[in-house]
Amino acid sequence: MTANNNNGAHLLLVEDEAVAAKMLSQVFNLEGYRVSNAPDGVAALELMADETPDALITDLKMPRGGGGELVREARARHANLPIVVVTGYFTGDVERELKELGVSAILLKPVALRDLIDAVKSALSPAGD
Amino acid sequence: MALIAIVDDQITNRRIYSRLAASLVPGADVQSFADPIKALEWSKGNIPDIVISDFQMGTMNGASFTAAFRAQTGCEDVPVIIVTAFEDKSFRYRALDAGATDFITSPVDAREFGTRLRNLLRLRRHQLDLQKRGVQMQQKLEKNTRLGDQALRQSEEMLRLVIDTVPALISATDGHSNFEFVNRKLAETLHMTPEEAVGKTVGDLMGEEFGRRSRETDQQVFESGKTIAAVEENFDGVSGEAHTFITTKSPLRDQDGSVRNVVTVSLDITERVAAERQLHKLSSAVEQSPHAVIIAGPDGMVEYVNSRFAEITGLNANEYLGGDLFAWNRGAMPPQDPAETLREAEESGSARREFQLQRGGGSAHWCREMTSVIRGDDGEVMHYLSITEDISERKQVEAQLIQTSKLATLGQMAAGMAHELNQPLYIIRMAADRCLMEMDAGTLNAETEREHFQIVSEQCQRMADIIGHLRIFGRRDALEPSLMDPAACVRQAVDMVLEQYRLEDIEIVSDIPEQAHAVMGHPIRLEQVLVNLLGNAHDAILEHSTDDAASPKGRIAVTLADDAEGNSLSISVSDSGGGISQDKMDSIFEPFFTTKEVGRGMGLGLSVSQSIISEMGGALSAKTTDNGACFSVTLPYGEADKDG
Repeated sequence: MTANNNNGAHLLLVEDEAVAAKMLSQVFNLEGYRVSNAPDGVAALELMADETPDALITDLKMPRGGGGELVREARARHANLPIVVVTGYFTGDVERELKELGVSAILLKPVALRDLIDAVKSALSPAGD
Repeated sequence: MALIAIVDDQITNRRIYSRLAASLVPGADVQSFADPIKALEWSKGNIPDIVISDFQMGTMNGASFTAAFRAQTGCEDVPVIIVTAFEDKSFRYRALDAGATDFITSPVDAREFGTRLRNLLRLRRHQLDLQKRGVQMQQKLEKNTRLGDQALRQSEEMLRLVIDTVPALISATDGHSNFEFVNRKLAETLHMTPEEAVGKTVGDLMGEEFGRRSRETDQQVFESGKTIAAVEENFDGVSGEAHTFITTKSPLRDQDGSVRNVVTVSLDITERVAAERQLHKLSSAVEQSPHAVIIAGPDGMVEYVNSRFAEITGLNANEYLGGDLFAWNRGAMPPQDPAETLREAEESGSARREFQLQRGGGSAHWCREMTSVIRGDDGEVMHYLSITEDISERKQVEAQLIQTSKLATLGQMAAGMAHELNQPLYIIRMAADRCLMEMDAGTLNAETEREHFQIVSEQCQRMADIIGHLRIFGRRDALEPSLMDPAACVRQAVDMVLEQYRLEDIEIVSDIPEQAHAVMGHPIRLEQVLVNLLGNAHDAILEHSTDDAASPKGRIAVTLADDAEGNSLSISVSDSGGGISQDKMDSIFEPFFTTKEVGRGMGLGLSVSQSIISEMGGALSAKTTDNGACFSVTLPYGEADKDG
């Protein structure tokens, strides 16, 4: 694994499946991030109320409102929050709406781990290093 | 008692004769007259049995007297004896000419007088006897004639009555086709009285064409003198109604043997012909029916087999005539119980069976047989009727439709499936990528490696399960039903959609026993019905949902329980999707009826589901609950012995 030069930025990872959530947490920890996990949108919004994360990584399809609802609410609360969407399936309408909401990246499962790490990284530093 | 008249102008003679007569004929009434005129007057009221008269009398001689006497009524044959005083031939001739019967010479010899008197009286007696017998015979003859006339009149009347009463049209015609006799029935058919018809021609009353044909036939009878029997002819009735007659024309002969008339006797067979036509129509329909039709008598022996039978069964119909009603389907799968079929038919009017039949070593065909009972007015079984239809093609089409509908369901599920497959794929890729990255960095340790291979293996199994499910579900079911566990079907259907629905905030709560009573059917088809019902519940919930992220969108409850009757079980799928409006409730089981937006459903799901369930002998019903719809599938318990 490469450098831990991410200054301990705080990622809120929303993933309803425990196995996936655990693996992603480990990977992002190794990348030097601090990771919070939420199994669904409602839990994620609760966590966000306690501490605003540096970036939000979420699936679209999950219980309790789904990811779309979460993205809308998160954007409403934090206009500049970087958001990365990882999903198995989306339509043109959904893509358009997400882009309007200023989502940094939309990644299609099964995304390559490297691409996901890169997308998060670039979302956190939009100007580019 | 003899009445003797004596005529003589001599008192002495009168006395002598009177005494002689009285002594010779005991009990005789002797009247003596001096004057012949007086005697004539007397004899007008009294016919004597014999007259004894003198020839030589003062006022009138014996010849004149005799002539006058003979001229009187009743006196024509009375014996008259003339007494002449002497042998004078000329007197005797005159007396004989006048009608005298005998002579006695005067002076009278007592012995001769007596003999002649007795002889003539005997003659007179015989004469009177004969006369009396003649009168009696005459009277008898007259009486007999009177009785004969009466009898003749009676038998004539009887004959007329018979001719008017027989349900036949009877007429007699002459050589010009004129009616000489018409019975009542014929007259009624012509809407007139027999009297009105007589004298008219056949053509006048029954139409020109009919008259012409009738005249031609009459001529043949006149010429040949022979009967022409049983000819069918059509008569357009007086008011236009068509009649069919069966007619016989016979010659009616004179005493000399020549044909005088033709007697025509017709039976109106219009109704019989109509009935025959109707029968012919029906029997043609049965013969040309696309189904095999077998009719058996009350003893179950085959009386009739239509021609389609051979086509459907591949068997020779003639071999089954006279045989057992069910002999032809002895090789059926599942095996049929003829006694049970007949019992059911007799109890409920008809019995339906479906079975496969091997056709002459060739392919197996699906047959649907309906056995029914035809009863007489007294309720006794008169016939058994078996109608068999080849439903192989329909079975194929049905199976095709079911498959099509299932594939449509699968298509609708594709998006959800993609996500379901993507998830393990995503995890596998992360595990692999993680290991690759650590290998590249040289940080990979055995523990991490093992942990991730474990994850990969588990996720592969997860994918295999999903794909296996799809593969089984997508597969075509066998045509033959079998005994199966409905609980397993319900679980599999729920498993198939559980994860997808969970991600859409739709909760499935199921109450399904570990194992349920076996039912007869196709497991995948039952699963298809349940997936359809779950899909409908899912769609209804999504449509009905509000965008309240905090609570689950909806809930589907799935239950399986035995019915109270103890011979069936029910599976229910109820949702919180708002229910079905009453106006739509009537249409939901119709094919191609859908409330879903374009692209969401073909509208086949419920219609196909219903046909699947009814094929299993069950029922699919819908009702609206407090907050949604509830669909119930009721299935009869399967019986082990039906599992051929």
